[in-house]
Amino acid sequence: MASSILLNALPGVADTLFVPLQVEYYTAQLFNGLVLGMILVLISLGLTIIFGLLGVINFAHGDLLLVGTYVSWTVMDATGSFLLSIGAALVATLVLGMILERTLLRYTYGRHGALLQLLLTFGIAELIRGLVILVWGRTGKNFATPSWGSSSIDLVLFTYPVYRVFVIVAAAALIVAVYLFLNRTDLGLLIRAGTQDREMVDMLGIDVSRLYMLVFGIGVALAGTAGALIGPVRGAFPTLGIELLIPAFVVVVVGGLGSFRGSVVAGILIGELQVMTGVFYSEASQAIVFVFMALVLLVRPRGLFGQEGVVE
Amino acid sequence: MPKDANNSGTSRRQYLKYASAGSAVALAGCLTGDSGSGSESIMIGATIPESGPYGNIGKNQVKGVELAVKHANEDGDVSDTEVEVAFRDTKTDTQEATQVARELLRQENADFLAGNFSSSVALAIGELAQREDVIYTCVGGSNAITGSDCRSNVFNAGNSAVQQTSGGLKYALDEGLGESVYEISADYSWGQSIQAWNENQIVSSYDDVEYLGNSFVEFGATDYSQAITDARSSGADIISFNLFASNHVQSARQADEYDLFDDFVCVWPATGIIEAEQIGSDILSRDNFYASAPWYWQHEAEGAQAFSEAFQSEYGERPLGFSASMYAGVRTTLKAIDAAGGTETADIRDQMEDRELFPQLWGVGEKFRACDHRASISTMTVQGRDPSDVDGQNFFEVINVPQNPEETQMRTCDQTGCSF
Repeated sequence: MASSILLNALPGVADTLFVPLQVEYYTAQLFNGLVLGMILVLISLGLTIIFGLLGVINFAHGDLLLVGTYVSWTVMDATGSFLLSIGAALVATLVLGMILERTLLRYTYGRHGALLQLLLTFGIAELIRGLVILVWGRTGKNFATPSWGSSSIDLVLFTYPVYRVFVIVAAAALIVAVYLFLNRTDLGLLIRAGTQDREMVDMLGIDVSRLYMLVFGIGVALAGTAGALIGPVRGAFPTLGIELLIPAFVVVVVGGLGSFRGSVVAGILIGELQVMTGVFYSEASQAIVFVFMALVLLVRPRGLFGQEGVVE
Repeated sequence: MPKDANNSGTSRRQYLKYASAGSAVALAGCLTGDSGSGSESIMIGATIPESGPYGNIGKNQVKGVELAVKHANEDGDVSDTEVEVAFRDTKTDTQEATQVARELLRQENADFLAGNFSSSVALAIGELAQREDVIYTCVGGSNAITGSDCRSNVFNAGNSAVQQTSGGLKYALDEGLGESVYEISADYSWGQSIQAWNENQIVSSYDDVEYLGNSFVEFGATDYSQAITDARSSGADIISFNLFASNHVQSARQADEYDLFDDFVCVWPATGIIEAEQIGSDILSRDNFYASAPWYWQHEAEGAQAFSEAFQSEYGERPLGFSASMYAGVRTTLKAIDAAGGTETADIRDQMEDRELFPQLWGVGEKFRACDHRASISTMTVQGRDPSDVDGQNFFEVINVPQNPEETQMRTCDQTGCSF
């Protein structure tokens, strides 16, 4: 992202402050990578949970994230409360996801479903982006950082913006919550069982179709919440979702399709890789993630933690 | 190097003349002695982005051109000839812009082209205008437009990257606000122009000022955390954010997030009321916030005040700097057409060179310089008002208005690499 010639300048600056400056600098850049990484984890978790149970590769995921960003912006603009705006984005995208699953996606399961799903989710993506442009305009919205997050906090080694620390913490809390939901609740147990053997769960008298609806809603809500969190960092504009969806797909592939742990590890790895590559050679910061993906697939074709059709 | 219209082969006007004549012969089977267009009006082809990333600015500029046409007709800028305008949306895309500019010439029979504020679009349309042998009155900051890639048919009514940075970084250095500089620059023609000028001309002209580096950010990037971390770690006293419009807004907000205003003088080379509104007075009023403004509606020049009031009264909003530039640019071009007695490009060009802009919105005798066709407008330096003093859109306190910009804020004609 940033083409830096700072390193050329550092030797002169660093005569007296070499070590402290370097540590502060690289730690701050690692945190920048972590912010991006945590957002990617949230987006890819949604993708991977949906794929794990429904077998659907959701190409509308980025634009559903966009809905979260714009709903959050609207609520923030109207009420001034950012926390309320995150809640609104979460609920709105959860409901929207469930409606889309019930009214459209459910008809695509079964034979030739993959092709239909691909076309359908592409169509939904285009439709949503068109509606976003229609409602909120093409030029984008300036998404203000909440007042409590618009300064920096002293983290001993360096100072870092409060809001970005909040993004890291909030994303981590959400990831843990989803993990606990999947592993410590009866509903989570059913979802994991459905992921491993849908027919068996169906035969036990469990309404799998409702599970599908719920899981699609939760997956989309994770994207919507990520969209709300990234708003003050990047702003709200119609191509935001597409920009984030591409690296999120890379995360899912690198982590392993359907792998919770894989999404978390790969999300943070890709975020750091992108930012730290930019520190040394910005021209490669976008391409590096695809090179990394290719290398991982050469060594582990199912990704770092991938097991076919399983949410771990 | 400058391209001369005379070297471009058959011009558009000649082409139309021959085509009309040919058609007339074919249809009527006889020759006429009159090859004139018989036009009773002047048609302006206005190429302005009304959608896309800079659509909000473009819509304001559209009004600037509309008002110029209205006032030109009321005041008789081109004697008794009526002035009309047709608009096309460039979407700030060079290919789209070239296509719509061609449409304006072919379908609307535009007599000259006007509008836009994107450097890359100005370069693209400028090339077309040269090929088609029509005048193009534009706004665009890149030094190349009136420098290495200058075209004799292109007149630039806006300030250049050099003028912009004179109101920002140069002002900060002249005032002794710091002794070292780091830059964060947009990686496209305008940002590259400013970065190169700052590094190679401005900073190097001060013996006691050190240049510590630059981070380019790609077009469309909105998260500057990496570049800001670079700048903060450089230890520079002054950070120049060579970022425009929404990127200016986003970078000012992020500078505040990273507490840069506490320790660094932060300068932006082009600000305006749209950006100010979005950044917010809390941030604008930080002591270390400095920006240059190409024009500001509270400018005290007589012409500026009359224009501001007319614009506000007509549209219920304040004009932006780009709109002021375009208003003056269009009316000056129309005055030149009147003085030329017709729409022959070479005659208009002769009349525009060294012609004072009308009206004088900067009040410093600004004109289209003959050697490079850049307007010698004065770029002011502004700081934000305290939030409690902001009423309406009076976001800025003007702290410096150079009275002789041609000498203090512009490249010399020799430095431009362009000489007509």
